[in-house]
Amino acid sequence: MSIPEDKKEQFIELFDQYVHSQQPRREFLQKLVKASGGVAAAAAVLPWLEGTGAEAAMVSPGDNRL
Amino acid sequence: MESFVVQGAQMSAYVARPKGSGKLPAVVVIHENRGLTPHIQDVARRMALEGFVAVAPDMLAPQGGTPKDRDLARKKLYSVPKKEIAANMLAVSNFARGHAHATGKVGVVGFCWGGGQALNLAVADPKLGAAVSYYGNAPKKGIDKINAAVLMNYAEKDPKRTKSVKPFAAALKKMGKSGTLHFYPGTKHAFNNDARPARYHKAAAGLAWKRTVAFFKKNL
Repeated sequence: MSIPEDKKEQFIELFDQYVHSQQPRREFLQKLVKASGGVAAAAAVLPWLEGTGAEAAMVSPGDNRL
Repeated sequence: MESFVVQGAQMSAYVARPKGSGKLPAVVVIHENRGLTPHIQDVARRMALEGFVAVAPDMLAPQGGTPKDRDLARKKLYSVPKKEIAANMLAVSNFARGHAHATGKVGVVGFCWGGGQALNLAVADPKLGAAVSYYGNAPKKGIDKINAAVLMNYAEKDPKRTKSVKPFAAALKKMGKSGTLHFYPGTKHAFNNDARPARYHKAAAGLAWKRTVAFFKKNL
């Protein structure tokens, strides 16, 4: 699912406020749901903002040059 | 992971270096406010392949290590007294300096929270050769104590850090110290983090990395 262009700035701003403060995750998620228009939309935006944790490394931990 | 003790507390760092080479300069890689993540370990490996002993400390090691829960990591990191962070940073620098595979020359690069710590280390460690901050908050005090060459990679749209780094860079210049500040057009805070798609800017991240590596090669 693509992220609506006109909302990107707003999503990033919400995320930025959250990760640089002591804001509880629940509060951030509530704001994101409101800004994106629903739980399903917010669920699609979330991995775009914070990654999934399963991103491929540029240099793998087992790289034989290391 | 390699461990060492600082003021009775256990510190640990992820260490990466090229296979089979002789002694190399060391680069300390400081994580963001979410602790030592797989992404930062990846950055350390990239740095190692450039010809350095890369030392990426877990600044939450004395608190039991970076937890899986990223929010908990952030919360814990903010709860550690600044003095303790500063002492641990200095210990990491000394560990890198004395590493069996290192020449004794040490540089530091940090991202976001770690970018601020990299600049703080430049103030605290007179033996530091080079410091690179990616969009970190810059110190206001002790700038006169900096001996390291300083490189600053900042986003075009990051008002808070811009406000902090501009007077810092101006102070370095006024004191006749080595400082280079780059702003990257079209970028936002955290543009180097390829593990978070929203703000990752591939071209800017590539250019900043080239500049960072060249800077370390020149100064270490």
